[in-house]
Amino acid sequence: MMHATTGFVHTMRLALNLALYEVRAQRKETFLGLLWLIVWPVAQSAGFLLAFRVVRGEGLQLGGEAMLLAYFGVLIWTTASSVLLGNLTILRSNRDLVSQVVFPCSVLSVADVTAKFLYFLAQAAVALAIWFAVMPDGQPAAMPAYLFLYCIGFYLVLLAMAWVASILGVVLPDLSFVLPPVLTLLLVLSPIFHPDPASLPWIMRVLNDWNPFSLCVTAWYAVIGVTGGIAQAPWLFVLSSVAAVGVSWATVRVFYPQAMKVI
Amino acid sequence: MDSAGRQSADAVGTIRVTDLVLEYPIYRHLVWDRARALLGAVIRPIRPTAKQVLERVSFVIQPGEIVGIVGRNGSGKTSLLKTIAGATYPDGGHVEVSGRVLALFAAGLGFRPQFTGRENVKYGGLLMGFRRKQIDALLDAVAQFSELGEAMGQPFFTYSSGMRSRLAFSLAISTPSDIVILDETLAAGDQRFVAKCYQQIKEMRSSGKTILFVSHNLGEVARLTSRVMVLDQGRLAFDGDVFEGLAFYERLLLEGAMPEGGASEEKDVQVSLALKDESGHPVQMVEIGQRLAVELTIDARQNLGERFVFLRLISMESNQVYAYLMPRRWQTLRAMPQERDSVVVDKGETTIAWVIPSWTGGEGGYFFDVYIGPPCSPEAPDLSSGQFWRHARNFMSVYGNAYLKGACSTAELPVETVRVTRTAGSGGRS
Repeated sequence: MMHATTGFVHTMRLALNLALYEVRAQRKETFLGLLWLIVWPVAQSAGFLLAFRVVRGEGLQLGGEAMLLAYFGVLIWTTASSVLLGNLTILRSNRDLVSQVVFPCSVLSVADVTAKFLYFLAQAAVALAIWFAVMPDGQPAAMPAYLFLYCIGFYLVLLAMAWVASILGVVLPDLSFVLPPVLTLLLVLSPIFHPDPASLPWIMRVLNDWNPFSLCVTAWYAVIGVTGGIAQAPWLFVLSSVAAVGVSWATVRVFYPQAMKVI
Repeated sequence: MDSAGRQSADAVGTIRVTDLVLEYPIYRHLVWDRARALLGAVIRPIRPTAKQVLERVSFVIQPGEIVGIVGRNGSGKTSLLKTIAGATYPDGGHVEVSGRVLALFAAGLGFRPQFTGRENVKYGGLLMGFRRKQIDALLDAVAQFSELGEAMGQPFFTYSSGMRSRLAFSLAISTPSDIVILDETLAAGDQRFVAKCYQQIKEMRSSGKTILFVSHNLGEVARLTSRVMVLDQGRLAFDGDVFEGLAFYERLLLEGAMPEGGASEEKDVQVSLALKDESGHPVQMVEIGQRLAVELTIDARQNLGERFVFLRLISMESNQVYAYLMPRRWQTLRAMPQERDSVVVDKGETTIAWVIPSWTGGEGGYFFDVYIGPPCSPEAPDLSSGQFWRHARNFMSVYGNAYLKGACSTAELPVETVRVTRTAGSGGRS
């Protein structure tokens, strides 16, 4: 038990340090550096929102709340999709590292998720500050605790997804080409741009109900009080994410030894 | 048991490998077979055909031993090291390792090109599980040993292959460990740095670290190791004394290089080469200044007539020809002679003995090639061009070898006497 705890602490410390190196590497390779943390999701959510309003004939004028909700949604979605797509190739792109350095390879996904989660936290914190300033009333007192729980759950969901994706990427490398357009399509159909699910055809509702990205967005909206079910959402979210991580870790234990040979 | 499924052995620095089996899939369609290999972890029937790269390999390495592993390309050397290091999981058998292992494989330590040398050391230190304070100490040691100076602050992609090798090796040897694994790591450094690395390895050996060392430079192996393992097609073909091991490996190489035409001719002649001290006792180690007799015995099944015979003494480290010894020459030839000495090789034993009054070879390993071929042939091999084996297939060619280790001189090798004796007999020891 003691050995396992020490190993876990060591792995998490390693993951955090590697994540910080990832952040540093990304910062060094662009002119704007960490400013992209804010610029990218703002530009993306504004672009999507404007496109939708134009398509729907609703004009170009955007409300602050709609803009913020779209920002939150797109932020969660892009974080999840970048984790998914990034981890499809993580073993193959780190082939040298995996084959030349002796370390727990599963930590590569943990580091990637941690780096992206740190970005997410920074991006979400800025938007949340604005959200609280814009909507000072009606915030439940327990919201900070709910947000904390949500963040734990979201991190675990990302991790579960990353580990499975890292194995899938070896078995089905074509997913790297298939998934981007599919994810864009699902984003278009997601609750981010369709706040009223009842207005959607049943097939789209089913897709959203089974899509973990949409579930993450919906849970976030519940946590910040936009939709109902706030009391249950964070707990349910955390519990299901713990289960997902458990299954994902078991998958890693089975497949990674072989994956290390064939990448 | 650690994350790679390796069990702990008894004393720190011990490596115990028992019936180790390692398989890799044989790829016919890369993506499809890779998927089958991966899913085969749970659905065994769909596993693709596999090739055993290690077949029931067993050995024990005691703490403080320095062991050289040699073998032809694809013989399983790197796979064995990776399995011991924990970078690859075995398909069968056990690997028990006690103590902290540090492995440096040929291509480096997975350095990130956009990071500086300093950042890469920190990154590597993190991967190896060190804390920040330990990494700071490591950084100083690496900077000092690698002598990279200001280049440590430059991006890794700007480094030459030699600089990369320096950084990787410096990190590897500066890292606290009980077992060090070095896989073809000294190939890219300059001579002064390589000499410094040799010295460092010797110090590591004297400090009691266990070292596993793979190299195709047999001189390196002879100079650094006390025990040699020869891997051949995934099997441990030899495990023992370094000189016997290298001789065994040379024979393996020559068997592989021997053309089909030469194989039948070899049956007609057997050669043996003995190194003897002044009392006539066989020797393997030669001190500088030592009197030495080199005896080549040709045992022929039939009369071969006049044959061109010589020994070629080659340094294992530089792979350069150090001397040609001819039957009727009283001096060593540094260049392949145009006029070649021949002797009559009749049925029975023909012995040619060269007496070297004072061995003046430098420290390191050497080996002799023995050449026996037709005299004055227009197809005579141009040995200096490195085309020896290919041209030699047209002739009756027999090769043998032996190893010498001296101390420190680069002077020419003097030859005092050459004696040719014949003993008639049935010939052809079978």
